[in-house]
Amino acid sequence: MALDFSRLNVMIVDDNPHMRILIRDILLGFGVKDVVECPDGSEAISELRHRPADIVIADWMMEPLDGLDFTRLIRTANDSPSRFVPIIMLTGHTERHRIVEARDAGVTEFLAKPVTANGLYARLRSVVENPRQFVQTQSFSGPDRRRRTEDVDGRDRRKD
Amino acid sequence: MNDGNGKTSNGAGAQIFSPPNTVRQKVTGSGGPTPEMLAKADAAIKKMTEDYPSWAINEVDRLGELIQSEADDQTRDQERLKEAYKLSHDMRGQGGSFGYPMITGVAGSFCSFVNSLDAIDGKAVDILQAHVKAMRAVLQNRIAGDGGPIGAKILDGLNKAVAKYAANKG
Repeated sequence: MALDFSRLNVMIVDDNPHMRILIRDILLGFGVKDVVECPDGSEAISELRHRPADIVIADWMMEPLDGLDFTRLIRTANDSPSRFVPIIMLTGHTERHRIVEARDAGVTEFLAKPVTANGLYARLRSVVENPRQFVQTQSFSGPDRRRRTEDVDGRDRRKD
Repeated sequence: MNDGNGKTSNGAGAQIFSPPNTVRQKVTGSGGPTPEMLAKADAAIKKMTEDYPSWAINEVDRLGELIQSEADDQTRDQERLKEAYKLSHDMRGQGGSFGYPMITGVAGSFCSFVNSLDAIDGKAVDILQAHVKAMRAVLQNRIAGDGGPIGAKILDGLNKAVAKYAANKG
């Protein structure tokens, strides 16, 4: 038995209309019935104020507000419309320092292009089956960046 | 330390808590996709693959214009190069997504080459134009998939040109 996504509301944020259609049609194929499309981060934030999404799939490179700044605003702005929404970052950037940058902005999952049906399903599944705790510090707000649970020997000195 | 609202603090300034999980509440079932789900998703991708060359060629044309402008006026315009990089970066992500991994390979090579440049010169412009020409050939001839022997030859030619340029610079 697969996951039943029929009650989910997913937002796609990408400046390329063809890429939005591709992701939308894959999601519809997975049984998602409610998909909202936005061409950039600023429009996505406005849309989220009116209509919350359960999951956001956002491209990295967009103008005027790119996926990274969009994520930072969602996670840290005082008037954020949806601080905890899971964000799947879609990008052609696969270099390690880029992944760390996205993680530090508060991205929940990372999906490297080219997009495949299996890859997208796997990220949705991870969001559903492995929800992460939220961490808030002076320098970071977002899903826990540590995926492994380890016993700490002595006092926990974690600050980030 | 628990503050009574579900938030814990480790005493070093980090607050850790479980946010409301609307996703888990709305999604039932478990495990991987059914064959039917994948078939529907793959059908969507296939449909988009058929249309891809007809709109992607416009992006290649724009990329070609930008590089040709650079060849013509040699102003080394950074904004122009930035736009060219963004176009190529987008194509790198889109190509494979729409069934044209050759475009991903050539556009990826374009991006890596631009990243490696300290300054653009005439020889670098020639190499960028060769990339544009390769992308155009892939789309006009609808070379989907990895392109077979012809695809490998095109990529090999570009890689050699980039390596030669780097060797001469070094």
